[in-house]
Amino acid sequence: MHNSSSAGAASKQKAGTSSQASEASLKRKRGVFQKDLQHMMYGFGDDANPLPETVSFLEDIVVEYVTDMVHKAQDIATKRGKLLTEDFLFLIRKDLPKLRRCTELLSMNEELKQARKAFEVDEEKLANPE
Amino acid sequence: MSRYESFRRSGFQKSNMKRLLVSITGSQKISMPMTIVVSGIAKMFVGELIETGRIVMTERRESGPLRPCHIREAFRRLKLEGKVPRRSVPRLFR
Repeated sequence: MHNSSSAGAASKQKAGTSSQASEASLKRKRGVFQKDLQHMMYGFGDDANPLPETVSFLEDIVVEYVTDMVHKAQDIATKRGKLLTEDFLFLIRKDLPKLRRCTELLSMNEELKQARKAFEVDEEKLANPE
Repeated sequence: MSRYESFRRSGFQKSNMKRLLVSITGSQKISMPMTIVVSGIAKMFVGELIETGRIVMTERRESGPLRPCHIREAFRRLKLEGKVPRRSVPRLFR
């Protein structure tokens, strides 16, 4: 009986680790945004050393906020098909500062892309005559 | 000055945000502009929370680093203003 119980415990452990491995991809890791959040909190007005419980609490709130936003965006997007960036812009249309910031970010991203493309094209021109 | 530097340079890591978005949507096709937009929105949301939390703290005449109770009150006020997305179906299982 002792042998079977130890074998049972060993097989249970193995099953536990394999399910843990598959769960690790589904479970949300804690402290993903910790370092970024600490810098952000100082930038927005908190102490230079924010409390760890405040940082964890903020991370939970942010993850919940992003999750709810994405679900709402998906509700809007299913009518059309794919999930697009425009769906997020539609969600924040009432919040003017956020809308302005997002359009600024998107246009800056486009500018940087164009600048990088122009840089690559110039290098090709330099390479070809040689 | 270092506070302004932190304010400008801080942000969510694009890789972490992309991983979070993939896990929420269940699809692998998350474009870079989408990650940028969501990171920007989330950063501004954090800013609103912390600024409101500081206001709450001065109302209560407390000092020092922000505590979860201040953030909770700030979150409640933002909800009243309608700046937090509400789920039409309440979340049942966490």
